[in-house]
Amino acid sequence: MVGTKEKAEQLRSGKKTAEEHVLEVLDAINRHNKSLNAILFMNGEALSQARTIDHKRKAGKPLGKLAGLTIAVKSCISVQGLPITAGSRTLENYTGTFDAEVIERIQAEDGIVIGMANMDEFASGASGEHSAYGVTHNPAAPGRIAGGSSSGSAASVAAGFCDLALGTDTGGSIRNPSSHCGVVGIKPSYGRVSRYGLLDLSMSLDQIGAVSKDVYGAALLHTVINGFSEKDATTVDKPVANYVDPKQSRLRIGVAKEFEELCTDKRIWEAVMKRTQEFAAKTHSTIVPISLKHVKLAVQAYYPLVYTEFYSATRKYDGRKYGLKIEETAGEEVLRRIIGGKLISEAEYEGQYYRKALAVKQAIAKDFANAFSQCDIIVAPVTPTLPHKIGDDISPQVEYGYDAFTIPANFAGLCAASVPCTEIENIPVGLQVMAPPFEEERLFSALFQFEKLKK
Amino acid sequence: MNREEIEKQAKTIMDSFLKELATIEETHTFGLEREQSMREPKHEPSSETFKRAFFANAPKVKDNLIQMERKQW
Repeated sequence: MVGTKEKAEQLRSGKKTAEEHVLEVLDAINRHNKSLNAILFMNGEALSQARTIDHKRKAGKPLGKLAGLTIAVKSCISVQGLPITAGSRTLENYTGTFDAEVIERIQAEDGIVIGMANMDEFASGASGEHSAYGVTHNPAAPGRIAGGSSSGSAASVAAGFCDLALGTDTGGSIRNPSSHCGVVGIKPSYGRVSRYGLLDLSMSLDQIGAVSKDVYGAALLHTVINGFSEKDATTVDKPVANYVDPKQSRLRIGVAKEFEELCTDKRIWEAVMKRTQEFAAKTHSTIVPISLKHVKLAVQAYYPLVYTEFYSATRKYDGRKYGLKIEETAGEEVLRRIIGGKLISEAEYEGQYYRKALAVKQAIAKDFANAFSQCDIIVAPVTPTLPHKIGDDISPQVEYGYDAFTIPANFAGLCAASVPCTEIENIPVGLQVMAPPFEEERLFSALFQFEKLKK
Repeated sequence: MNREEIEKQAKTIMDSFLKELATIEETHTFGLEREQSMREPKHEPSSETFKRAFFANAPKVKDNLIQMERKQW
């Protein structure tokens, strides 16, 4: 398999033209997307954009960092002229009227948007089964879910429908499908990447992040999209670093016993621990036992908060200005969140659910702050179980539990990632690495090392 | 599943979560967080950026003004 670094160099040198590359990618999509349902809409201008990049190269003009690389975009991120459905019938006729800031940055670096990726409706789901446009299939584990909500982004990367993809992560929506599809997925620190142009699910937690087959690709895309933005007041003006070639150092690796207790499939825990021990031995790092005593309440606190913010965020889908009325068109999970959010927002319940949930969120953030005084990174599984079979009857509570290991990083504003760890029953299993807020350089440094161990 | 059933299910889920959240103490004074996270403005006022984005989306711009029919944008 040609890695992203090598592919980028081939495109930069002209060994392969951007046009040839886009044609290959389009061919893969034409042949396999019908069965995988990972891409919802193609960018009809991808080929002409590739030719423009080839002309630029031939003319000796400087090329951007992503020159000729193809990028699939989750369908809740605005791209001018393409359908931005958020995986919902509510927005089936809505076309992006402007480019999200991440798209502007990608295009400024000569990246080519190849199409819009499938997703759980309004990012409400952890399986990839809740899209109004059909289930996303897992190219790395046939018959199994791809995970969600960025199901199409991870599946597209795994299937070779693009080099890189953009997803969004509110409680694990990048890391979960990346783990199930055997690719690398990054959840940046809260405030690291501009969300201007993102249809929000939960504005206090959402982040846009990169998905790639390898750590280099994820680091490259993260480099392009990260940094302060005047258009998003939640971004923070902190220095960005070198993510594609980060400094390597010995690390203190935190392992929390509370995560072990939450891991339903013990094979996953054992695989993650085995890989962590190999990492420690190889890099002369140390493993430090830590305690994160409130993480066991993460799921229970997350959903009241998300229900409430989602209810607020969806009031604009009233069918008046654009799209259709959400209550009349959306699927069951979206309705559950809207109705639940309305309920929690009612005066008689507000104190019961919302404030309790906020208190847990803060307690978890405090646990992490304490833990990071003893360690540099924290390692955990990404999901507590293997991906279920498509069509299995899974209750909402069980599916909510899929995010048990990923929600805590969102609550604490950490940067985190899923990197391929092993296979169990021929199904990919990811390993999660978490680092303190805005320590992406440290995160990528660990990810590059973990990737080497898998190879 | 109809709306009533979904509502009932949402309430059941929230109630089950609440039972588990009951153990947590509310020690946080909400609202303080906002004060703590205030930042000093370092950049020029960003009104020009917003104006550019706003104008780029406008159906018609003439002489630094947006022209449109009522209820058409």
